[in-house]
Amino acid sequence: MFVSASDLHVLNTVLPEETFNSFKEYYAPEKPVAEQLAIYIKNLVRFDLGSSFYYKMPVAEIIAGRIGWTLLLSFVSISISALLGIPMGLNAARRGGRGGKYLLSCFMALQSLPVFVLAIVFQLLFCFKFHIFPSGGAYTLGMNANIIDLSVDVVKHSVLPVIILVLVELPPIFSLTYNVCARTKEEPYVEMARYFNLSDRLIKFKYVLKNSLPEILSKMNIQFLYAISGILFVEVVFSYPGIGTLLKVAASSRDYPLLQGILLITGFYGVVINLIFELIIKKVNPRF
Amino acid sequence: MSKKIANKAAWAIVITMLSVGAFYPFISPYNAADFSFRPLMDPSTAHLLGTDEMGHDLLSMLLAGFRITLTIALAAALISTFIGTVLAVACAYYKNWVDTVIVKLTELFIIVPEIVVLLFFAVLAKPGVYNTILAIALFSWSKVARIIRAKSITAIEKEKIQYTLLLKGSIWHVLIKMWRELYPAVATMFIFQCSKAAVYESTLAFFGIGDPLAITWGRMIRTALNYEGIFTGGAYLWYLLPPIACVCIFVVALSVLAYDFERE
Repeated sequence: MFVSASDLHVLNTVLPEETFNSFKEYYAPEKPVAEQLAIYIKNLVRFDLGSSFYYKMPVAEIIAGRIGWTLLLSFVSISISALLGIPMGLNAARRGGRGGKYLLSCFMALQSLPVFVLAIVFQLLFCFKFHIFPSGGAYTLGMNANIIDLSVDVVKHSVLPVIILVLVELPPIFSLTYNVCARTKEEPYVEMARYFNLSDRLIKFKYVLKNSLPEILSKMNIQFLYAISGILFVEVVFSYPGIGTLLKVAASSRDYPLLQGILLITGFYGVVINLIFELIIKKVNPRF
Repeated sequence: MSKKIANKAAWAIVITMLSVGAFYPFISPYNAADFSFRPLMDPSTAHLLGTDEMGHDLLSMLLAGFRITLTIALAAALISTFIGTVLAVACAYYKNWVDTVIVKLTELFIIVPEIVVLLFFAVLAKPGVYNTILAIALFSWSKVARIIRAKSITAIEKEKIQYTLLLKGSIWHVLIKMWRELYPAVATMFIFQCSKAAVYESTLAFFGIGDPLAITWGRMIRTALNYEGIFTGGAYLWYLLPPIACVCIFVVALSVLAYDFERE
């Protein structure tokens, strides 16, 4: 984001002087754009993302303090959805017929709903009506307990967000697996295996799954990237202290440096995920 | 058979919702901006959904929300489908570097989720309905471009379009000639974009971004959640759930329609 002198004038009237000065120092708006870019890139290389208006702290520090919770939610939920979705898709494709198609259209409808609406409804039901799960946060504040109680507490707080995320992430993984496996199932070598009277289990795992997995994996990185936006909204509803809640604060207080930092970090996450998946795919199947 | 019923029901829902949006001043019991009623009334025959903490009639607000939410959804979907289709045809028409640049751009939107970019720019823009529409339209065309691009690359090989190219037809001529091939995909994408725009609008409102004066379903959800006692009494039943139900019904009906179009 490059700041022009007129924008600066507006900020000058609303920000306290100290924050304004650090902002001015960071973006150096009086210099030409090319030089601004050079300064900005120099700052980025040093992991200096500027200073937040709202928290009055370096953006990099704030994000570093929050990103752990977001990564926790994202990895737990995606692992669960993959562990559920891939076998479900495989079985539905193996059986064929109407069941899989029916499930697919149910999932399609579920997938089109806004994530935060799903989260609100779940929160309403399970936190405020039945009081099964705590309604927000990642742990009970001010709890002075040993490590076991603390981890139980953290798990309890994350159950509902994870369930919602699984509901959102499962459908694309299921439909991806279903489509890929349904295609693999028709391949001549699977037909051949059936003529040889190989056991169903063997065909399922050794023939269908093993040959579908590279294609599924090569498209799973997109699921990871889609998942991040779902996580952000679920966090906001449950006031989970991750990047999403930070995004909410930044958006409602118009904290530009923080917003920009979050934008950069999500982009960075995307690039890293892509790199990891490229490595995995190379390992699993050198063809791709 | 059941598919047909689902399809018909979806059409009926969408058409009803659109006509409510068009004609809501005639069926709305009160003016949506009128806050002269006693605040926080329970539902009664005078106020079917009660009133909010400011004293607005909630049913009138919900009905007013039909118009603005649906306008935003339709307008944003129209613009984004147009941008996406033109860019996709440009990919097939110019090939080479134009194609590469556009494909890279759509990939960029996969890496950074659209909604995050959208939020970023919506915060920078002045709050207002037009800016919300523009922000949604400008950052949600990537999927349209990806899918239509695949269709246009096969369509451009057809003889009639090759003739147009031989006659040095411009990109617009090619787009018009291709329209018959592209139309089903474009229609599917338009419906899909409508539902996506409605979701994005409510998400923006949920984050407190957008026109603070425009009454949309998203803003009603936001104000309902901001109200402290929403979950303690029964207030969520007539305050929070109706706008949520409206968004969900609209979005699901559209996705049923898009799914049917896709299969045809």
